[in-house]
Amino acid sequence: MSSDRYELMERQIREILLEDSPASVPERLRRLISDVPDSAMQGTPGLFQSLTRLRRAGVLLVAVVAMVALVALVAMPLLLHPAGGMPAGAPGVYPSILPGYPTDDPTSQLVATGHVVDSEGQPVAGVVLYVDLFLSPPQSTQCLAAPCQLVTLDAVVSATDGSFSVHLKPNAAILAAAKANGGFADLTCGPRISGFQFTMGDFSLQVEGDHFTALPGPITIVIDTLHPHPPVTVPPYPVPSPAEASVRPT
Amino acid sequence: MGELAGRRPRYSAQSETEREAAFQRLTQARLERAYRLASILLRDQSEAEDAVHDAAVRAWQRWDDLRDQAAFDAWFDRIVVSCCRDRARRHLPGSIDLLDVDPAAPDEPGRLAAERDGLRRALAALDPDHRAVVVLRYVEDLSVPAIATRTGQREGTVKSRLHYALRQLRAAWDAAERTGGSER
Repeated sequence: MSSDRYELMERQIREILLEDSPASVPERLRRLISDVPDSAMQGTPGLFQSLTRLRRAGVLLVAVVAMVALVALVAMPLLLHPAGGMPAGAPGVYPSILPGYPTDDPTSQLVATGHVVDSEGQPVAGVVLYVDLFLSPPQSTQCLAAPCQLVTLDAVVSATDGSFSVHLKPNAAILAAAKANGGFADLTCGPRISGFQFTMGDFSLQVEGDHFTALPGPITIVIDTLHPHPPVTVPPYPVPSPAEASVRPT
Repeated sequence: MGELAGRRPRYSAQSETEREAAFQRLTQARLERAYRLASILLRDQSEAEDAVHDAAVRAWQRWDDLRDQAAFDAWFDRIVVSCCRDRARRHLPGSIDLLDVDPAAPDEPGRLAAERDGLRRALAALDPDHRAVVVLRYVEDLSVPAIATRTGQREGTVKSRLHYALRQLRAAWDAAERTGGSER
Protein backbone atom coordinates (compact mmCIF):
# COMPACT_ATOMS: atom_id res chain seq x y z
CA MET A 1 0.00 0.00 0.00
CA SER A 2 1.45 3.40 -0.97
CA SER A 3 2.00 5.98 1.73
CA ASP A 4 -0.68 8.24 0.19
CA ARG A 5 -3.22 5.48 0.33
CA TYR A 6 -2.13 4.60 3.83
CA GLU A 7 -2.56 8.21 4.94
CA LEU A 8 -5.98 8.25 3.33
CA MET A 9 -6.92 5.11 5.25
CA GLU A 10 -5.71 6.64 8.52
CA ARG A 11 -7.76 9.76 7.83
CA GLN A 12 -10.79 7.61 7.15
CA ILE A 13 -10.27 5.69 10.40
CA ARG A 14 -10.23 8.94 12.33
CA GLU A 15 -13.33 10.28 10.58
CA ILE A 16 -15.26 7.05 11.10
CA LEU A 17 -14.36 6.91 14.77
CA LEU A 18 -15.39 10.52 15.23
CA GLU A 19 -18.83 9.68 13.82
CA ASP A 20 -19.52 8.14 17.24
CA SER A 21 -18.42 11.33 18.96
CA PRO A 22 -21.29 12.97 20.87
CA ALA A 23 -22.17 16.63 20.37
CA SER A 24 -22.02 17.51 24.05
CA VAL A 25 -22.08 16.05 27.54
CA PRO A 26 -25.67 15.30 28.67
CA GLU A 27 -26.81 17.41 31.59
CA ARG A 28 -27.76 14.23 33.45
CA LEU A 29 -24.16 13.04 33.40
CA ARG A 30 -22.91 16.42 34.65
CA ARG A 31 -25.32 16.22 37.58
CA LEU A 32 -24.32 12.63 38.34
CA ILE A 33 -20.66 13.59 38.36
CA SER A 34 -21.27 16.55 40.65
CA ASP A 35 -23.02 14.17 43.09
CA VAL A 36 -20.20 11.61 43.05
CA PRO A 37 -18.43 12.56 46.30
CA ASP A 38 -21.71 12.51 48.26
CA SER A 39 -23.06 9.34 46.73
CA ALA A 40 -19.74 7.54 47.08
CA MET A 41 -19.50 8.57 50.75
CA GLN A 42 -23.04 7.34 51.44
CA GLY A 43 -22.39 4.00 49.84
CA THR A 44 -21.61 1.02 52.03
CA PRO A 45 -17.89 0.48 52.24
CA GLY A 46 -16.65 -2.70 50.65
CA LEU A 47 -15.65 -5.67 52.75
CA PHE A 48 -11.97 -4.90 52.34
CA GLN A 49 -12.37 -1.22 53.28
CA SER A 50 -14.28 -2.13 56.42
CA LEU A 51 -11.36 -4.14 57.82
CA THR A 52 -8.78 -2.73 60.16
CA ARG A 53 -5.30 -2.12 58.81
CA LEU A 54 -3.94 -5.25 60.51
CA ARG A 55 -6.70 -7.41 59.12
CA ARG A 56 -6.20 -5.96 55.68
CA ALA A 57 -2.54 -6.94 55.88
CA GLY A 58 -3.60 -10.44 56.92
CA VAL A 59 -6.02 -10.73 54.02
CA LEU A 60 -3.34 -9.54 51.60
CA LEU A 61 -0.81 -12.02 52.99
CA VAL A 62 -3.24 -14.91 52.61
CA ALA A 63 -4.06 -13.79 49.06
CA VAL A 64 -0.37 -13.59 48.12
CA VAL A 65 0.37 -17.04 49.59
CA ALA A 66 -2.62 -18.50 47.76
CA MET A 67 -1.49 -16.93 44.49
CA VAL A 68 2.07 -18.23 44.87
CA ALA A 69 0.73 -21.71 45.62
CA LEU A 70 -1.51 -21.56 42.56
CA VAL A 71 1.33 -20.42 40.30
CA ALA A 72 3.59 -23.16 41.67
CA LEU A 73 0.86 -25.71 41.11
CA VAL A 74 0.48 -24.70 37.47
CA ALA A 75 4.11 -23.97 36.62
CA MET A 76 5.94 -26.80 38.37
CA PRO A 77 4.62 -29.66 36.23
CA LEU A 78 5.59 -27.70 33.15
CA LEU A 79 9.07 -26.88 34.40
CA LEU A 80 9.71 -30.44 35.54
CA HIS A 81 8.73 -31.90 32.19
CA PRO A 82 11.79 -33.45 30.51
CA ALA A 83 11.23 -31.40 27.35
CA GLY A 84 11.38 -28.23 29.37
CA GLY A 85 7.63 -28.09 29.73
CA MET A 86 7.11 -26.69 26.32
CA PRO A 87 3.78 -27.52 24.79
CA ALA A 88 3.64 -26.48 21.16
CA GLY A 89 3.09 -22.81 20.73
CA ALA A 90 2.25 -22.12 24.34
CA PRO A 91 3.70 -19.12 26.10
CA GLY A 92 5.55 -19.85 29.28
CA VAL A 93 8.98 -20.36 30.70
CA TYR A 94 11.46 -21.78 28.25
CA PRO A 95 14.56 -23.14 29.92
CA SER A 96 18.05 -22.93 28.55
CA ILE A 97 19.73 -25.76 26.75
CA LEU A 98 19.94 -28.78 28.96
CA PRO A 99 23.36 -30.01 30.12
CA GLY A 100 24.99 -32.29 27.62
CA TYR A 101 22.42 -31.65 24.95
CA PRO A 102 23.86 -31.77 21.40
CA THR A 103 23.44 -28.14 20.49
CA ASP A 104 24.76 -28.67 16.97
CA ASP A 105 22.04 -31.17 16.10
CA PRO A 106 20.50 -29.67 12.94
CA THR A 107 17.54 -32.01 12.86
CA SER A 108 15.67 -30.81 15.89
CA GLN A 109 14.64 -27.21 16.00
CA LEU A 110 12.18 -24.74 17.32
CA VAL A 111 10.38 -22.41 14.98
CA ALA A 112 9.62 -18.94 16.25
CA THR A 113 7.29 -16.74 14.21
CA GLY A 114 6.70 -13.09 14.84
CA HIS A 115 6.84 -9.64 13.42
CA VAL A 116 8.91 -6.48 13.65
CA VAL A 117 7.20 -3.15 14.22
CA ASP A 118 8.38 0.40 14.72
CA SER A 119 7.39 2.80 17.46
CA GLU A 120 4.13 3.53 15.67
CA GLY A 121 3.24 -0.12 15.29
CA GLN A 122 4.03 -0.11 11.58
CA PRO A 123 5.78 -3.15 10.09
CA VAL A 124 9.52 -2.87 9.53
CA ALA A 125 10.98 -4.85 6.65
CA GLY A 126 14.59 -5.86 6.15
CA VAL A 127 15.62 -6.27 9.78
CA VAL A 128 18.17 -9.05 10.08
CA LEU A 129 17.49 -11.32 13.02
CA TYR A 130 20.35 -13.46 14.21
CA VAL A 131 19.86 -16.38 16.51
CA ASP A 132 23.04 -16.73 18.48
CA LEU A 133 24.22 -19.34 20.84
CA PHE A 134 26.31 -18.13 23.73
CA LEU A 135 28.95 -20.73 24.49
CA SER A 136 28.93 -19.85 28.14
CA PRO A 137 26.39 -18.10 30.30
CA PRO A 138 27.06 -14.38 29.80
CA GLN A 139 27.59 -12.36 32.93
CA SER A 140 26.50 -8.79 33.14
CA THR A 141 30.04 -7.44 32.79
CA GLN A 142 31.64 -10.29 30.87
CA CYS A 143 30.61 -9.19 27.42
CA LEU A 144 31.70 -5.63 28.10
CA ALA A 145 35.27 -6.62 28.96
CA ALA A 146 35.69 -8.86 25.92
CA PRO A 147 33.36 -10.01 23.15
CA CYS A 148 31.20 -12.91 24.21
CA GLN A 149 31.78 -16.14 22.37
CA LEU A 150 28.86 -16.56 20.05
CA VAL A 151 27.87 -19.04 17.42
CA THR A 152 25.30 -17.85 14.92
CA LEU A 153 22.75 -20.56 14.41
CA ASP A 154 20.45 -18.89 11.98
CA ALA A 155 19.61 -15.53 10.48
CA VAL A 156 16.47 -14.28 8.80
CA VAL A 157 15.28 -11.01 7.33
CA SER A 158 11.86 -9.61 8.16
CA ALA A 159 9.47 -9.54 5.19
CA THR A 160 7.66 -6.51 3.80
CA ASP A 161 4.84 -6.96 6.31
CA GLY A 162 7.43 -7.21 9.11
CA SER A 163 6.86 -10.91 9.64
CA PHE A 164 9.57 -13.49 10.11
CA SER A 165 9.99 -17.14 10.92
CA VAL A 166 13.23 -18.31 12.42
CA HIS A 167 14.67 -21.60 13.57
CA LEU A 168 15.96 -21.82 17.10
CA LYS A 169 17.66 -24.76 18.74
CA PRO A 170 15.67 -27.19 20.86
CA ASN A 171 15.13 -25.80 24.31
CA ALA A 172 17.16 -22.75 23.47
CA ALA A 173 15.99 -19.97 25.66
CA ILE A 174 14.92 -16.68 24.24
CA LEU A 175 15.24 -15.52 27.79
CA ALA A 176 17.52 -17.11 30.34
CA ALA A 177 14.68 -18.33 32.45
CA ALA A 178 16.63 -21.27 33.82
CA LYS A 179 20.37 -21.10 34.09
CA ALA A 180 21.32 -24.55 35.26
CA ASN A 181 23.71 -25.30 32.43
CA GLY A 182 26.62 -24.18 30.35
CA GLY A 183 24.71 -23.22 27.24
CA PHE A 184 22.59 -20.18 26.73
CA ALA A 185 20.90 -18.94 23.62
CA ASP A 186 19.30 -15.65 22.85
CA LEU A 187 17.36 -14.21 19.99
CA THR A 188 19.34 -11.10 19.26
CA CYS A 189 19.19 -8.66 16.44
CA GLY A 190 21.97 -7.57 14.16
CA PRO A 191 24.06 -5.56 14.48
CA ARG A 192 24.85 -6.86 17.92
CA ILE A 193 22.85 -5.22 20.65
CA SER A 194 23.77 -4.81 24.26
CA GLY A 195 20.57 -3.68 25.84
CA PHE A 196 17.13 -5.05 25.35
CA GLN A 197 14.07 -5.65 27.39
CA PHE A 198 12.30 -8.97 27.21
CA THR A 199 8.80 -9.51 28.44
CA MET A 200 7.76 -13.11 28.88
CA GLY A 201 4.04 -12.60 28.82
CA ASP A 202 3.59 -11.86 25.16
CA PHE A 203 7.04 -12.69 23.81
CA SER A 204 7.74 -9.08 23.12
CA LEU A 205 11.40 -8.28 22.71
CA GLN A 206 11.85 -4.54 22.79
CA VAL A 207 15.04 -3.19 21.34
CA GLU A 208 15.80 0.22 22.71
CA GLY A 209 18.49 2.78 22.14
CA ASP A 210 20.61 3.49 19.12
CA HIS A 211 21.68 0.00 18.25
CA PHE A 212 20.05 0.26 14.88
CA THR A 213 21.78 3.15 13.23
CA ALA A 214 20.32 2.22 9.86
CA LEU A 215 16.78 2.38 11.20
CA PRO A 216 14.89 5.59 11.90
CA GLY A 217 13.99 4.65 15.46
CA PRO A 218 13.56 1.90 17.99
CA ILE A 219 11.89 -1.27 16.84
CA THR A 220 10.04 -4.02 18.62
CA ILE A 221 10.38 -7.67 17.77
CA VAL A 222 7.34 -9.61 18.81
CA ILE A 223 7.47 -13.39 18.99
CA ASP A 224 3.97 -14.66 18.23
CA THR A 225 4.46 -18.41 18.40
CA LEU A 226 7.15 -20.85 19.39
CA HIS A 227 6.72 -24.37 18.10
CA PRO A 228 8.89 -27.46 18.38
CA HIS A 229 9.55 -28.55 14.80
CA PRO A 230 9.74 -31.42 14.48
CA PRO A 231 8.73 -32.57 17.95
CA VAL A 232 11.91 -33.24 19.85
CA THR A 233 12.79 -35.79 22.45
CA VAL A 234 15.08 -34.33 25.00
CA PRO A 235 17.20 -36.53 27.24
CA PRO A 236 16.36 -36.12 30.89
CA TYR A 237 18.66 -34.29 33.23
CA PRO A 238 21.51 -36.64 34.25
CA VAL A 239 21.08 -37.00 37.98
CA PRO A 240 24.31 -38.35 39.53
CA SER A 241 23.85 -41.09 42.07
CA PRO A 242 25.29 -40.45 45.52
CA ALA A 243 28.08 -42.97 44.74
CA GLU A 244 29.05 -41.08 41.56
CA ALA A 245 28.95 -37.80 43.36
CA SER A 246 31.29 -39.07 46.07
CA VAL A 247 33.97 -40.20 43.59
CA ARG A 248 33.90 -36.93 41.64
CA PRO A 249 37.49 -35.54 41.41
CA THR A 250 38.10 -32.40 43.37
CA MET B 1 0.02 14.30 70.68
CA GLY B 2 2.34 12.13 68.66
CA GLU B 3 -0.12 9.28 68.94
CA LEU B 4 -2.92 11.47 67.70
CA ALA B 5 -0.81 12.67 64.77
CA GLY B 6 -0.19 9.05 63.80
CA ARG B 7 -3.92 8.44 63.56
CA ARG B 8 -4.57 11.30 61.19
CA PRO B 9 -6.07 10.32 57.86
CA ARG B 10 -3.73 10.52 54.86
CA TYR B 11 -5.55 13.42 53.32
CA SER B 12 -5.47 15.62 56.36
CA ALA B 13 -3.38 18.19 54.50
CA GLN B 14 -6.50 18.98 52.47
CA SER B 15 -9.85 19.51 54.06
CA GLU B 16 -12.76 17.45 52.84
CA THR B 17 -14.19 20.51 51.11
CA GLU B 18 -10.93 21.19 49.35
CA ARG B 19 -10.70 17.59 48.20
CA GLU B 20 -14.22 17.67 46.80
CA ALA B 21 -13.60 21.01 45.12
CA ALA B 22 -10.40 19.75 43.49
CA PHE B 23 -12.12 16.56 42.35
CA GLN B 24 -15.06 18.47 40.88
CA ARG B 25 -12.87 21.04 39.15
CA LEU B 26 -10.64 18.45 37.49
CA THR B 27 -13.38 15.96 36.64
CA GLN B 28 -15.74 18.52 35.17
CA ALA B 29 -12.91 20.00 33.11
CA ARG B 30 -12.12 16.56 31.70
CA LEU B 31 -15.72 15.42 31.36
CA GLU B 32 -16.26 16.34 27.74
CA ARG B 33 -13.16 14.50 26.51
CA ALA B 34 -13.81 11.55 28.79
CA TYR B 35 -17.38 11.24 27.52
CA ARG B 36 -16.24 11.51 23.91
CA LEU B 37 -13.59 8.85 24.48
CA ALA B 38 -16.09 6.52 26.14
CA SER B 39 -18.67 7.09 23.40
CA ILE B 40 -16.19 6.23 20.67
CA LEU B 41 -14.87 3.22 22.55
CA LEU B 42 -18.32 1.82 23.32
CA ARG B 43 -20.28 3.12 20.31
CA ASP B 44 -23.23 3.64 22.61
CA GLN B 45 -23.87 6.93 24.35
CA SER B 46 -25.93 5.62 27.25
CA GLU B 47 -23.27 2.97 27.92
CA ALA B 48 -20.70 5.75 27.71
CA GLU B 49 -22.58 7.80 30.30
CA ASP B 50 -22.59 4.86 32.68
CA ALA B 51 -18.92 4.15 32.04
CA VAL B 52 -17.90 7.74 32.76
CA HIS B 53 -20.00 7.76 35.91
CA ASP B 54 -18.37 4.50 37.04
CA ALA B 55 -14.99 6.04 36.30
CA ALA B 56 -15.79 9.15 38.35
CA VAL B 57 -16.90 7.04 41.32
CA ARG B 58 -13.76 4.93 41.04
CA ALA B 59 -11.59 8.05 40.74
CA TRP B 60 -13.13 9.56 43.86
CA GLN B 61 -12.61 6.34 45.81
CA ARG B 62 -8.95 6.36 44.78
CA TRP B 63 -8.49 10.11 45.02
CA ASP B 64 -5.72 9.80 47.61
CA ASP B 65 -3.68 7.72 45.15
CA LEU B 66 -3.38 10.75 42.85
CA ARG B 67 -0.26 12.44 44.15
CA ASP B 68 0.17 15.04 41.45
CA GLN B 69 -2.97 16.78 40.23
CA ALA B 70 -1.12 17.76 37.06
CA ALA B 71 -1.26 14.08 36.12
CA PHE B 72 -5.04 13.96 36.56
CA ASP B 73 -5.96 13.82 32.87
CA ALA B 74 -3.90 10.71 32.09
CA TRP B 75 -4.90 9.13 35.40
CA PHE B 76 -8.62 9.71 34.80
CA ASP B 77 -8.38 8.63 31.15
CA ARG B 78 -6.87 5.37 32.31
CA ILE B 79 -9.80 4.76 34.65
CA VAL B 80 -12.26 5.66 31.86
CA VAL B 81 -10.57 3.27 29.43
CA SER B 82 -10.59 0.55 32.08
CA CYS B 83 -14.32 1.06 32.80
CA CYS B 84 -15.09 1.02 29.07
CA ARG B 85 -13.14 -2.19 28.57
CA ASP B 86 -15.00 -3.80 31.46
CA ARG B 87 -18.32 -2.80 29.97
CA ALA B 88 -17.37 -3.83 26.44
CA ARG B 89 -16.13 -7.22 27.63
CA ARG B 90 -19.34 -7.78 29.54
CA HIS B 91 -21.21 -7.49 26.28
CA LEU B 92 -18.83 -9.70 24.34
CA PRO B 93 -18.75 -12.05 22.60
CA GLY B 94 -21.42 -11.74 20.03
CA SER B 95 -22.78 -8.36 20.93
CA ILE B 96 -21.07 -6.63 18.05
CA ASP B 97 -23.56 -6.67 15.28
CA LEU B 98 -21.76 -5.95 12.07
CA LEU B 99 -25.06 -5.19 10.39
CA ASP B 100 -25.56 -2.46 12.96
CA VAL B 101 -22.85 -0.40 11.32
CA ASP B 102 -24.13 2.73 9.66
CA PRO B 103 -24.00 2.45 5.89
CA ALA B 104 -21.91 4.83 3.87
CA ALA B 105 -23.29 8.28 3.26
CA PRO B 106 -25.20 8.41 -0.04
CA ASP B 107 -23.08 11.18 -1.51
CA GLU B 108 -19.80 9.27 -1.16
CA PRO B 109 -18.39 8.12 -4.51
CA GLY B 110 -18.60 4.37 -5.17
CA ARG B 111 -15.12 3.13 -4.30
CA LEU B 112 -14.61 5.45 -1.36
CA ALA B 113 -18.01 4.50 0.01
CA ALA B 114 -17.14 0.81 -0.23
CA GLU B 115 -13.81 1.38 1.46
CA ARG B 116 -15.33 3.40 4.27
CA ASP B 117 -17.99 0.79 4.74
CA GLY B 118 -15.34 -1.93 4.92
CA LEU B 119 -13.38 0.10 7.45
CA ARG B 120 -16.49 0.76 9.55
CA ARG B 121 -17.20 -2.94 9.76
CA ALA B 122 -13.60 -3.80 10.56
CA LEU B 123 -13.50 -1.14 13.28
CA ALA B 124 -16.73 -2.45 14.75
CA ALA B 125 -15.32 -5.97 14.76
CA LEU B 126 -12.17 -5.08 16.71
CA ASP B 127 -12.15 -6.40 20.25
CA PRO B 128 -12.18 -3.82 23.08
CA ASP B 129 -8.41 -3.91 23.67
CA HIS B 130 -7.52 -3.40 20.02
CA ARG B 131 -10.23 -0.77 19.52
CA ALA B 132 -8.92 1.14 22.54
CA VAL B 133 -5.39 1.51 21.14
CA VAL B 134 -6.73 2.55 17.73
CA VAL B 135 -9.04 5.16 19.27
CA LEU B 136 -6.31 6.55 21.50
CA ARG B 137 -3.91 6.68 18.55
CA TYR B 138 -6.17 8.20 15.91
CA VAL B 139 -8.75 10.17 17.88
CA GLU B 140 -6.76 11.29 20.88
CA ASP B 141 -3.60 11.47 18.75
CA LEU B 142 -1.48 9.93 21.49
CA SER B 143 1.98 8.44 21.20
CA VAL B 144 2.62 4.79 22.03
CA PRO B 145 4.06 5.59 25.51
CA ALA B 146 1.03 7.78 26.28
CA ILE B 147 -1.32 5.01 25.13
CA ALA B 148 0.58 2.56 27.33
CA THR B 149 0.04 4.89 30.30
CA ARG B 150 -3.67 5.14 29.62
CA THR B 151 -4.27 1.46 29.03
CA GLY B 152 -1.93 0.14 31.71
CA GLN B 153 -0.14 -2.02 29.15
CA ARG B 154 3.49 -2.34 28.22
CA GLU B 155 4.61 -0.34 25.22
CA GLY B 156 5.44 -3.56 23.38
CA THR B 157 1.89 -4.78 23.90
CA VAL B 158 0.48 -1.49 22.64
CA LYS B 159 2.64 -1.64 19.51
CA SER B 160 1.67 -5.22 18.91
CA ARG B 161 -2.04 -4.48 19.31
CA LEU B 162 -1.78 -1.45 17.06
CA HIS B 163 -0.01 -3.57 14.48
CA TYR B 164 -2.65 -6.31 14.56
CA ALA B 165 -5.51 -3.83 14.47
CA LEU B 166 -4.03 -1.92 11.54
CA ARG B 167 -3.42 -5.17 9.70
CA GLN B 168 -7.09 -6.05 10.08
CA LEU B 169 -8.17 -2.59 8.97
CA ARG B 170 -5.78 -2.59 6.03
CA ALA B 171 -7.10 -5.98 4.90
CA ALA B 172 -10.69 -4.71 5.11
CA TRP B 173 -9.74 -1.54 3.24
CA ASP B 174 -8.01 -3.50 0.48
CA ALA B 175 -10.85 -5.99 0.18
CA ALA B 176 -13.38 -3.17 -0.02
CA GLU B 177 -11.29 -1.46 -2.66
CA ARG B 178 -11.27 -4.60 -4.78
CA THR B 179 -15.01 -5.05 -4.34
CA GLY B 180 -15.74 -1.40 -5.03
CA GLY B 181 -13.46 -1.41 -8.05
CA SER B 182 -15.04 -4.51 -9.56
CA GLU B 183 -18.55 -3.10 -9.16
CA ARG B 184 -17.79 -0.07 -11.25
